Amino acid sequence: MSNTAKNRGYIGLLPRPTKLADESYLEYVQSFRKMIIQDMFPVVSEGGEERYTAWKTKHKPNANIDELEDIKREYRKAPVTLTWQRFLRSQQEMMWRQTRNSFLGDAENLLAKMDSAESKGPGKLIYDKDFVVPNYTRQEIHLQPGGYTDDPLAGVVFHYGTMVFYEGTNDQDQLHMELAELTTKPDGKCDRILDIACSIGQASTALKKINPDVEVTGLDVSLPLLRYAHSRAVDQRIDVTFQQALAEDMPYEDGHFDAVLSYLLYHEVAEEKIEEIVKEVYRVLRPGGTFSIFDFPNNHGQTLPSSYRFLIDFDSRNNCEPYSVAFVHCDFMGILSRAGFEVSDGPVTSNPFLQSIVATKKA
Amino acid sequence: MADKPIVDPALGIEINGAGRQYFENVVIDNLMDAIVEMSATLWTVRDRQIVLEKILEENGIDAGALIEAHIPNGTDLAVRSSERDDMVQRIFRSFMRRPTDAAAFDADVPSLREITD
Repeated sequence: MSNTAKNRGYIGLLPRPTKLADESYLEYVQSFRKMIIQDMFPVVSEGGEERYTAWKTKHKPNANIDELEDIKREYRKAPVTLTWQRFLRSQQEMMWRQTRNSFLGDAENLLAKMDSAESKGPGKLIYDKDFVVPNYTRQEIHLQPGGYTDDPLAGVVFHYGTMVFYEGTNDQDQLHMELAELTTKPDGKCDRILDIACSIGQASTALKKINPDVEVTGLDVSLPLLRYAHSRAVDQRIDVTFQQALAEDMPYEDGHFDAVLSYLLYHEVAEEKIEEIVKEVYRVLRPGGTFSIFDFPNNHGQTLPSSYRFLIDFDSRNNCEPYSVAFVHCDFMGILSRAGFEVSDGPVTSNPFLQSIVATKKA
Repeated sequence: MADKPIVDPALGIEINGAGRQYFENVVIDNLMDAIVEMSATLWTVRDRQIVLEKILEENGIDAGALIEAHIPNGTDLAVRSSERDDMVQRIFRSFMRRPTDAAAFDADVPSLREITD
Protein backbone atom coordinates (compact mmCIF):
# COMPACT_ATOMS: atom_id res chain seq x y z
CA MET A 1 0.00 0.00 0.00
CA SER A 2 1.42 3.37 -0.97
CA ASN A 3 1.15 6.15 1.58
CA THR A 4 2.97 8.75 -0.49
CA ALA A 5 1.47 12.17 0.16
CA LYS A 6 0.55 14.15 -2.93
CA ASN A 7 -1.72 16.74 -4.44
CA ARG A 8 -5.01 14.84 -4.85
CA GLY A 9 -6.91 17.62 -6.60
CA TYR A 10 -9.90 19.59 -5.38
CA ILE A 11 -13.36 19.18 -3.88
CA GLY A 12 -15.04 22.15 -5.55
CA LEU A 13 -12.72 25.04 -4.68
CA LEU A 14 -11.18 23.17 -1.75
CA PRO A 15 -7.89 21.23 -1.92
CA ARG A 16 -8.27 17.57 -0.96
CA PRO A 17 -6.22 16.20 1.95
CA THR A 18 -3.03 14.62 0.70
CA LYS A 19 -4.06 11.03 1.50
CA LEU A 20 -7.32 9.12 1.25
CA ALA A 21 -6.87 8.04 4.87
CA ASP A 22 -6.74 11.71 5.96
CA GLU A 23 -9.83 12.53 3.93
CA SER A 24 -11.75 9.57 5.36
CA TYR A 25 -10.71 10.47 8.91
CA LEU A 26 -11.69 14.13 8.46
CA GLU A 27 -15.02 13.22 6.86
CA TYR A 28 -15.68 11.13 9.93
CA VAL A 29 -14.78 14.05 12.21
CA GLN A 30 -17.18 16.17 10.18
CA SER A 31 -20.02 13.70 10.74
CA PHE A 32 -19.09 13.46 14.42
CA ARG A 33 -19.20 17.26 14.73
CA LYS A 34 -22.60 17.35 13.02
CA MET A 35 -23.93 14.97 15.68
CA ILE A 36 -22.41 17.05 18.50
CA ILE A 37 -23.83 20.32 17.19
CA GLN A 38 -27.17 19.30 15.71
CA ASP A 39 -28.25 16.47 17.98
CA MET A 40 -26.35 16.81 21.24
CA PHE A 41 -26.30 20.55 21.91
CA PRO A 42 -30.10 20.85 21.87
CA VAL A 43 -30.19 18.22 24.63
CA VAL A 44 -27.57 20.15 26.61
CA SER A 45 -29.37 23.42 25.98
CA GLU A 46 -32.92 22.32 26.83
CA GLY A 47 -31.89 20.49 30.00
CA GLY A 48 -29.64 23.34 31.06
CA GLU A 49 -32.28 26.02 30.52
CA GLU A 50 -34.75 23.96 32.52
CA ARG A 51 -32.37 23.35 35.42
CA TYR A 52 -31.15 26.94 35.53
CA THR A 53 -34.68 28.36 35.42
CA ALA A 54 -35.78 26.07 38.25
CA TRP A 55 -32.73 27.02 40.33
CA LYS A 56 -33.24 30.75 39.72
CA THR A 57 -36.92 30.58 40.59
CA LYS A 58 -36.02 29.00 43.90
CA HIS A 59 -32.87 30.93 44.85
CA LYS A 60 -32.84 34.28 43.03
CA PRO A 61 -36.44 34.95 41.97
CA ASN A 62 -36.01 38.74 41.91
CA ALA A 63 -32.60 38.94 40.23
CA ASN A 64 -32.50 41.09 37.10
CA ILE A 65 -29.10 39.82 36.03
CA ASP A 66 -28.25 36.21 35.28
CA GLU A 67 -24.80 35.46 36.67
CA LEU A 68 -22.67 33.37 34.32
CA GLU A 69 -21.27 31.29 37.17
CA ASP A 70 -24.81 30.26 38.19
CA ILE A 71 -25.60 29.29 34.61
CA LYS A 72 -22.40 27.25 34.23
CA ARG A 73 -22.88 25.42 37.53
CA GLU A 74 -26.45 24.36 36.69
CA TYR A 75 -25.58 23.31 33.13
CA ARG A 76 -22.62 21.24 34.30
CA LYS A 77 -24.76 19.19 36.67
CA ALA A 78 -25.86 17.02 33.75
CA PRO A 79 -23.52 14.27 32.50
CA VAL A 80 -24.56 15.06 28.92
CA THR A 81 -23.07 18.55 29.30
CA LEU A 82 -19.68 17.20 30.34
CA THR A 83 -19.82 14.64 27.55
CA TRP A 84 -20.69 17.34 25.03
CA GLN A 85 -17.79 19.48 26.25
CA ARG A 86 -15.36 16.57 25.98
CA PHE A 87 -16.59 15.61 22.50
CA LEU A 88 -16.49 19.16 21.16
CA ARG A 89 -12.94 19.79 22.33
CA SER A 90 -11.72 16.39 21.14
CA GLN A 91 -13.36 16.86 17.75
CA GLN A 92 -11.77 20.28 17.30
CA GLU A 93 -8.30 18.96 18.16
CA MET A 94 -8.74 15.95 15.85
CA MET A 95 -9.86 18.22 13.02
CA TRP A 96 -6.87 20.55 13.21
CA ARG A 97 -4.27 17.90 13.98
CA GLN A 98 -5.18 15.72 11.01
CA THR A 99 -5.72 18.64 8.63
CA ARG A 100 -2.40 20.23 9.47
CA ASN A 101 -0.55 16.94 9.37
CA SER A 102 -2.06 16.06 6.00
CA PHE A 103 -1.09 19.30 4.25
CA LEU A 104 2.32 19.23 5.92
CA GLY A 105 2.92 16.24 3.60
CA ASP A 106 2.69 18.57 0.58
CA ALA A 107 4.16 21.68 2.21
CA GLU A 108 6.86 22.28 -0.36
CA ASN A 109 4.42 22.36 -3.28
CA LEU A 110 1.84 24.39 -1.40
CA LEU A 111 4.40 27.05 -0.49
CA ALA A 112 5.83 27.09 -4.03
CA LYS A 113 2.35 27.63 -5.45
CA MET A 114 1.77 30.65 -3.19
CA ASP A 115 5.24 32.01 -4.00
CA SER A 116 4.55 31.73 -7.70
CA ALA A 117 1.11 33.39 -7.40
CA GLU A 118 2.59 36.49 -5.77
CA SER A 119 3.74 37.88 -9.10
CA LYS A 120 0.57 36.90 -10.95
CA GLY A 121 -2.77 38.56 -11.49
CA PRO A 122 -5.50 39.38 -11.81
CA GLY A 123 -5.48 41.25 -8.55
CA LYS A 124 -2.48 41.72 -6.33
CA LEU A 125 -1.04 41.04 -2.93
CA ILE A 126 0.38 43.96 -0.94
CA TYR A 127 2.48 43.61 2.18
CA ASP A 128 5.54 45.01 3.86
CA LYS A 129 7.94 42.31 4.96
CA ASP A 130 8.87 44.41 8.00
CA PHE A 131 5.23 44.49 9.16
CA VAL A 132 5.04 43.59 12.85
CA VAL A 133 2.14 41.33 13.80
CA PRO A 134 0.72 42.51 17.13
CA ASN A 135 0.87 39.97 19.92
CA TYR A 136 -2.87 40.20 20.59
CA THR A 137 -3.54 38.60 17.21
CA ARG A 138 -1.06 35.77 17.75
CA GLN A 139 -3.53 33.33 19.26
CA GLU A 140 -4.33 29.77 18.26
CA ILE A 141 -7.85 30.93 17.38
CA HIS A 142 -10.30 28.01 17.27
CA LEU A 143 -7.29 25.87 18.32
CA GLN A 144 -5.75 26.07 14.85
CA PRO A 145 -2.09 25.07 15.33
CA GLY A 146 0.04 28.20 15.04
CA GLY A 147 -3.06 30.36 14.74
CA TYR A 148 -3.57 32.51 11.68
CA THR A 149 -0.23 34.24 11.93
CA ASP A 150 2.50 31.76 12.83
CA ASP A 151 2.10 28.89 10.37
CA PRO A 152 2.97 29.40 6.68
CA LEU A 153 0.40 26.69 5.86
CA ALA A 154 -2.35 28.45 7.84
CA GLY A 155 -4.40 29.27 4.72
CA VAL A 156 -4.95 25.78 3.39
CA VAL A 157 -5.27 24.37 6.91
CA PHE A 158 -7.93 26.97 7.73
CA HIS A 159 -9.74 26.30 4.45
CA TYR A 160 -10.09 22.55 4.94
CA GLY A 161 -10.57 22.84 8.72
CA THR A 162 -13.50 25.18 8.24
CA MET A 163 -15.01 22.72 5.76
CA VAL A 164 -15.25 20.31 8.69
CA PHE A 165 -16.31 23.12 11.05
CA TYR A 166 -19.16 24.18 8.76
CA GLU A 167 -20.22 20.54 8.51
CA GLY A 168 -19.40 20.20 4.84
CA THR A 169 -20.68 23.45 3.39
CA ASN A 170 -17.44 25.21 2.55
CA ASP A 171 -16.26 23.66 -0.69
CA GLN A 172 -17.92 26.21 -2.98
CA ASP A 173 -17.67 29.29 -0.71
CA GLN A 174 -21.40 28.80 -0.07
CA LEU A 175 -21.56 30.80 3.17
CA HIS A 176 -19.44 33.58 1.76
CA MET A 177 -21.56 33.88 -1.36
CA GLU A 178 -24.53 34.38 0.96
CA LEU A 179 -22.65 37.06 2.92
CA ALA A 180 -21.66 38.82 -0.28
CA GLU A 181 -25.28 38.78 -1.44
CA LEU A 182 -26.38 40.22 1.91
CA THR A 183 -23.74 42.94 2.08
CA THR A 184 -25.70 46.18 2.05
CA LYS A 185 -24.86 48.64 -0.71
CA PRO A 186 -25.14 52.37 -0.08
CA ASP A 187 -27.40 54.76 -1.88
CA GLY A 188 -25.67 56.27 -4.87
CA LYS A 189 -22.36 55.08 -6.23
CA CYS A 190 -20.67 51.89 -5.13
CA ASP A 191 -17.24 51.71 -6.72
CA ARG A 192 -15.14 50.26 -3.90
CA ILE A 193 -15.87 47.61 -1.27
CA LEU A 194 -13.55 46.61 1.58
CA ASP A 195 -13.66 43.20 3.28
CA ILE A 196 -11.92 43.65 6.65
CA ALA A 197 -10.44 40.61 8.34
CA CYS A 198 -10.91 38.85 5.01
CA SER A 199 -9.00 35.71 6.08
CA ILE A 200 -8.53 33.51 2.99
CA GLY A 201 -10.60 35.92 0.90
CA GLN A 202 -13.72 33.81 0.39
CA ALA A 203 -16.10 36.75 0.88
CA SER A 204 -13.78 39.08 -1.06
CA THR A 205 -13.86 36.90 -4.17
CA ALA A 206 -17.59 36.33 -3.71
CA LEU A 207 -18.13 40.12 -3.60
CA LYS A 208 -16.19 40.48 -6.84
CA LYS A 209 -18.14 37.68 -8.52
CA ILE A 210 -21.42 39.34 -7.63
CA ASN A 211 -20.21 42.90 -8.35
CA PRO A 212 -17.78 42.55 -11.27
CA ASP A 213 -17.57 46.31 -11.84
CA VAL A 214 -16.68 47.10 -8.23
CA GLU A 215 -13.09 47.32 -6.95
CA VAL A 216 -12.80 44.84 -4.06
CA THR A 217 -10.07 44.92 -1.41
CA GLY A 218 -9.50 42.26 1.25
CA LEU A 219 -7.54 43.27 4.35
CA ASP A 220 -6.15 41.03 7.06
CA VAL A 221 -3.37 40.94 9.63
CA SER A 222 -2.22 37.46 8.61
CA LEU A 223 0.21 37.12 5.72
CA PRO A 224 -0.13 33.29 5.53
CA LEU A 225 -3.90 33.68 5.05
CA LEU A 226 -3.49 36.48 2.51
CA ARG A 227 -0.91 34.57 0.46
CA TYR A 228 -3.39 31.70 0.23
CA ALA A 229 -6.26 34.14 -0.52
CA HIS A 230 -4.35 35.70 -3.41
CA SER A 231 -3.34 32.30 -4.78
CA ARG A 232 -7.00 31.19 -4.73
CA ALA A 233 -8.11 34.38 -6.47
CA VAL A 234 -5.42 33.93 -9.16
CA ASP A 235 -6.58 30.33 -9.71
CA GLN A 236 -10.15 31.54 -10.14
CA ARG A 237 -9.14 34.54 -12.28
CA ILE A 238 -10.82 36.96 -9.88
CA ASP A 239 -9.46 40.49 -9.57
CA VAL A 240 -9.19 41.33 -5.86
CA THR A 241 -6.47 43.30 -4.06
CA PHE A 242 -5.36 41.68 -0.81
CA GLN A 243 -3.41 43.77 1.68
CA GLN A 244 -1.77 43.01 5.01
CA ALA A 245 -2.67 45.72 7.52
CA LEU A 246 -4.39 46.27 10.85
CA ALA A 247 -8.11 47.01 10.82
CA GLU A 248 -7.45 49.65 13.49
CA ASP A 249 -4.83 51.39 11.33
CA MET A 250 -5.76 51.07 7.66
CA PRO A 251 -3.58 52.48 4.87
CA TYR A 252 -6.46 54.19 3.04
CA GLU A 253 -7.57 57.77 2.55
CA ASP A 254 -10.58 59.16 4.38
CA GLY A 255 -13.81 58.23 2.61
CA HIS A 256 -12.06 55.82 0.22
CA PHE A 257 -14.69 53.05 0.33
CA ASP A 258 -18.41 53.00 -0.42
CA ALA A 259 -19.13 49.83 1.56
CA VAL A 260 -17.33 47.69 4.12
CA LEU A 261 -18.02 44.09 5.18
CA SER A 262 -16.85 42.38 8.34
CA TYR A 263 -17.64 38.76 9.03
CA LEU A 264 -16.78 37.34 12.46
CA LEU A 265 -14.16 39.97 13.21
CA TYR A 266 -15.19 41.80 16.35
CA HIS A 267 -15.42 38.82 18.68
CA GLU A 268 -11.83 37.93 17.69
CA VAL A 269 -10.16 41.19 18.72
CA ALA A 270 -9.07 42.54 22.08
CA GLU A 271 -11.77 44.62 23.74
CA GLU A 272 -9.86 47.90 23.52
CA LYS A 273 -9.47 47.38 19.76
CA ILE A 274 -13.21 47.14 19.05
CA GLU A 275 -13.76 50.89 19.33
CA GLU A 276 -10.56 51.68 17.42
CA ILE A 277 -11.64 49.50 14.50
CA VAL A 278 -15.14 50.96 14.43
CA LYS A 279 -13.70 54.49 14.30
CA GLU A 280 -11.27 53.48 11.57
CA VAL A 281 -14.04 51.97 9.43
CA TYR A 282 -16.01 55.17 9.90
CA ARG A 283 -13.00 57.13 8.67
CA VAL A 284 -12.42 55.10 5.49
CA LEU A 285 -16.12 55.07 4.51
CA ARG A 286 -17.52 57.91 2.42
CA PRO A 287 -20.52 59.84 3.77
CA GLY A 288 -23.56 57.64 3.17
CA GLY A 289 -21.35 54.53 3.04
CA THR A 290 -22.54 51.31 4.62
CA PHE A 291 -20.86 48.91 7.02
CA SER A 292 -22.30 45.37 7.07
CA ILE A 293 -21.44 43.41 10.21
CA PHE A 294 -22.08 39.70 10.79
CA ASP A 295 -20.85 38.53 14.17
CA PHE A 296 -21.62 36.92 17.52
CA PRO A 297 -24.71 38.33 19.25
CA ASN A 298 -24.41 40.92 22.02
CA ASN A 299 -26.20 40.52 25.33
CA HIS A 300 -27.95 43.87 25.12
CA GLY A 301 -30.54 44.19 27.87
CA GLN A 302 -29.81 40.66 29.15
CA THR A 303 -31.73 39.24 26.22
CA LEU A 304 -29.51 36.28 25.37
CA PRO A 305 -30.78 32.89 26.54
CA SER A 306 -28.66 31.13 29.13
CA SER A 307 -27.71 28.45 26.59
CA TYR A 308 -26.07 31.07 24.34
CA ARG A 309 -24.10 32.49 27.26
CA PHE A 310 -23.04 29.02 28.35
CA LEU A 311 -21.98 28.17 24.79
CA ILE A 312 -20.05 31.41 24.25
CA ASP A 313 -18.24 31.10 27.58
CA PHE A 314 -17.29 27.49 26.85
CA ASP A 315 -16.21 28.39 23.34
CA SER A 316 -14.10 31.26 24.64
CA ARG A 317 -12.26 29.12 27.18
CA ASN A 318 -12.00 25.89 25.23
CA ASN A 319 -11.87 26.89 21.59
CA CYS A 320 -9.38 29.73 22.02
CA GLU A 321 -11.74 32.63 21.55
CA PRO A 322 -10.06 34.78 24.19
CA TYR A 323 -11.97 37.97 23.41
CA SER A 324 -15.47 36.73 22.57
CA VAL A 325 -17.05 36.99 26.02
CA ALA A 326 -15.95 40.62 26.35
CA PHE A 327 -17.40 41.37 22.92
CA VAL A 328 -20.71 39.69 23.69
CA HIS A 329 -21.08 41.76 26.85
CA CYS A 330 -19.88 45.08 25.44
CA ASP A 331 -22.15 47.90 24.31
CA PHE A 332 -21.41 47.33 20.63
CA MET A 333 -24.42 49.28 19.37
CA GLY A 334 -23.33 52.19 21.59
CA ILE A 335 -19.79 52.04 20.20
CA LEU A 336 -21.14 52.18 16.64
CA SER A 337 -23.48 55.06 17.47
CA ARG A 338 -20.82 57.06 19.31
CA ALA A 339 -18.54 56.73 16.26
CA GLY A 340 -21.25 58.49 14.24
CA PHE A 341 -23.01 55.57 12.57
CA GLU A 342 -26.75 55.20 12.17
CA VAL A 343 -27.34 51.61 13.27
CA SER A 344 -30.06 49.25 12.11
CA ASP A 345 -30.73 45.52 11.89
CA GLY A 346 -29.16 43.91 8.84
CA PRO A 347 -30.54 41.18 6.58
CA VAL A 348 -31.13 37.81 8.24
CA THR A 349 -28.62 35.06 7.39
CA SER A 350 -29.07 31.30 7.29
CA ASN A 351 -27.06 31.06 10.54
CA PRO A 352 -29.53 31.93 13.30
CA PHE A 353 -26.73 32.35 15.85
CA LEU A 354 -25.24 35.41 14.13
CA GLN A 355 -26.42 38.96 14.51
CA SER A 356 -26.57 41.10 11.40
CA ILE A 357 -26.09 44.87 11.62
CA VAL A 358 -25.92 47.63 9.06
CA ALA A 359 -24.15 50.79 10.23
CA THR A 360 -24.46 53.76 7.88
CA LYS A 361 -22.18 56.79 7.91
CA LYS A 362 -24.35 59.88 7.88
CA ALA A 363 -24.43 61.49 4.44
CA MET B 1 8.32 37.81 -1.84
CA ALA B 2 8.71 37.48 1.93
CA ASP B 3 11.63 35.64 3.50
CA LYS B 4 11.19 31.91 3.06
CA PRO B 5 8.63 30.89 5.69
CA ILE B 6 9.61 28.26 8.21
CA VAL B 7 7.20 25.34 8.47
CA ASP B 8 7.27 23.81 11.94
CA PRO B 9 6.52 20.07 11.60
CA ALA B 10 5.61 19.83 15.28
CA LEU B 11 2.63 22.20 15.08
CA GLY B 12 -0.56 20.34 15.89
CA ILE B 13 1.01 17.48 17.80
CA GLU B 14 0.02 19.26 21.01
CA ILE B 15 -2.67 21.90 20.73
CA ASN B 16 -3.09 24.99 22.87
CA GLY B 17 -1.46 23.71 26.01
CA ALA B 18 -2.11 20.55 27.95
CA GLY B 19 -5.30 18.66 27.14
CA ARG B 20 -8.47 19.89 28.80
CA GLN B 21 -10.26 17.99 31.54
CA TYR B 22 -14.05 18.13 31.87
CA PHE B 23 -14.81 15.20 34.16
CA GLU B 24 -13.87 14.99 37.81
CA ASN B 25 -11.89 11.88 37.00
CA VAL B 26 -9.48 12.59 34.14
CA VAL B 27 -9.56 8.93 33.15
CA ILE B 28 -13.10 9.47 31.87
CA ASP B 29 -11.80 12.21 29.57
CA ASN B 30 -9.08 9.86 28.39
CA LEU B 31 -11.49 7.00 27.77
CA MET B 32 -13.80 9.23 25.76
CA ASP B 33 -10.93 10.54 23.65
CA ALA B 34 -9.88 6.97 23.00
CA ILE B 35 -13.40 5.97 21.94
CA VAL B 36 -13.68 8.88 19.52
CA GLU B 37 -10.25 8.16 18.02
CA MET B 38 -11.09 4.48 17.76
CA SER B 39 -14.34 5.19 15.94
CA ALA B 40 -12.57 7.58 13.53
CA THR B 41 -9.89 4.99 12.86
CA LEU B 42 -12.49 2.29 12.29
CA TRP B 43 -14.26 4.47 9.72
CA THR B 44 -10.97 5.35 8.00
CA VAL B 45 -10.20 1.66 7.53
CA ARG B 46 -13.76 0.86 6.47
CA ASP B 47 -13.73 3.69 3.92
CA ARG B 48 -10.46 2.44 2.43
CA GLN B 49 -11.86 -1.06 2.23
CA ILE B 50 -14.91 0.21 0.35
CA VAL B 51 -12.69 2.04 -2.14
CA LEU B 52 -10.35 -0.91 -2.53
CA GLU B 53 -13.10 -3.45 -3.10
CA LYS B 54 -14.73 -1.16 -5.64
CA ILE B 55 -11.47 -0.79 -7.58
CA LEU B 56 -10.84 -4.52 -7.51
CA GLU B 57 -14.35 -5.31 -8.64
CA GLU B 58 -13.97 -2.87 -11.54
CA ASN B 59 -10.84 -4.82 -12.51
CA GLY B 60 -12.44 -8.24 -12.22
CA ILE B 61 -10.69 -9.37 -9.03
CA ASP B 62 -12.37 -11.42 -6.30
CA ALA B 63 -10.76 -9.72 -3.33
CA GLY B 64 -12.44 -11.87 -0.69
CA ALA B 65 -10.85 -15.12 -1.86
CA LEU B 66 -7.44 -13.56 -2.47
CA ILE B 67 -7.34 -11.93 0.97
CA GLU B 68 -8.01 -15.25 2.71
CA ALA B 69 -5.23 -16.90 0.69
CA HIS B 70 -2.66 -14.17 1.35
CA ILE B 71 0.40 -14.99 3.51
CA PRO B 72 2.38 -11.87 4.52
CA ASN B 73 6.16 -11.76 4.21
CA GLY B 74 8.56 -10.25 6.72
CA THR B 75 8.50 -6.78 5.15
CA ASP B 76 4.70 -6.75 5.10
CA LEU B 77 4.62 -7.73 8.74
CA ALA B 78 7.07 -4.97 9.70
CA VAL B 79 5.03 -2.31 7.89
CA ARG B 80 1.83 -3.50 9.52
CA SER B 81 3.49 -3.61 12.92
CA SER B 82 4.61 0.00 12.55
CA GLU B 83 1.14 1.14 11.50
CA ARG B 84 -0.39 -0.82 14.36
CA ASP B 85 1.93 0.90 16.84
CA ASP B 86 0.93 4.30 15.42
CA MET B 87 -2.73 3.40 15.85
CA VAL B 88 -2.20 2.39 19.46
CA GLN B 89 -0.42 5.72 20.09
CA ARG B 90 -3.20 7.73 18.50
CA ILE B 91 -5.97 6.01 20.39
CA PHE B 92 -4.37 5.81 23.79
CA ARG B 93 -2.17 8.92 23.91
CA SER B 94 -4.77 10.73 26.01
CA PHE B 95 -3.89 8.63 29.00
CA MET B 96 -0.36 10.02 29.01
CA ARG B 97 -1.28 13.56 28.09
CA ARG B 98 -3.23 15.40 30.73
CA PRO B 99 -1.89 16.49 34.11
CA THR B 100 -3.56 14.86 37.07
CA ASP B 101 -3.68 17.95 39.29
CA ALA B 102 -6.61 20.31 39.61
CA ALA B 103 -4.91 23.01 37.51
CA ALA B 104 -6.29 21.46 34.34
CA PHE B 105 -9.83 22.46 35.33
CA ASP B 106 -11.22 25.47 33.50
CA ALA B 107 -7.85 27.14 33.05
CA ASP B 108 -7.74 30.21 30.85
CA VAL B 109 -6.63 29.55 27.30
CA PRO B 110 -2.93 30.29 26.88
CA SER B 111 -2.00 32.49 23.97
CA LEU B 112 0.34 31.27 21.29
CA ARG B 113 2.73 33.97 22.41
CA GLU B 114 2.72 32.59 25.96
CA ILE B 115 3.28 29.06 24.68
CA THR B 116 6.06 30.17 22.34
CA ASP B 117 7.72 32.46 24.89
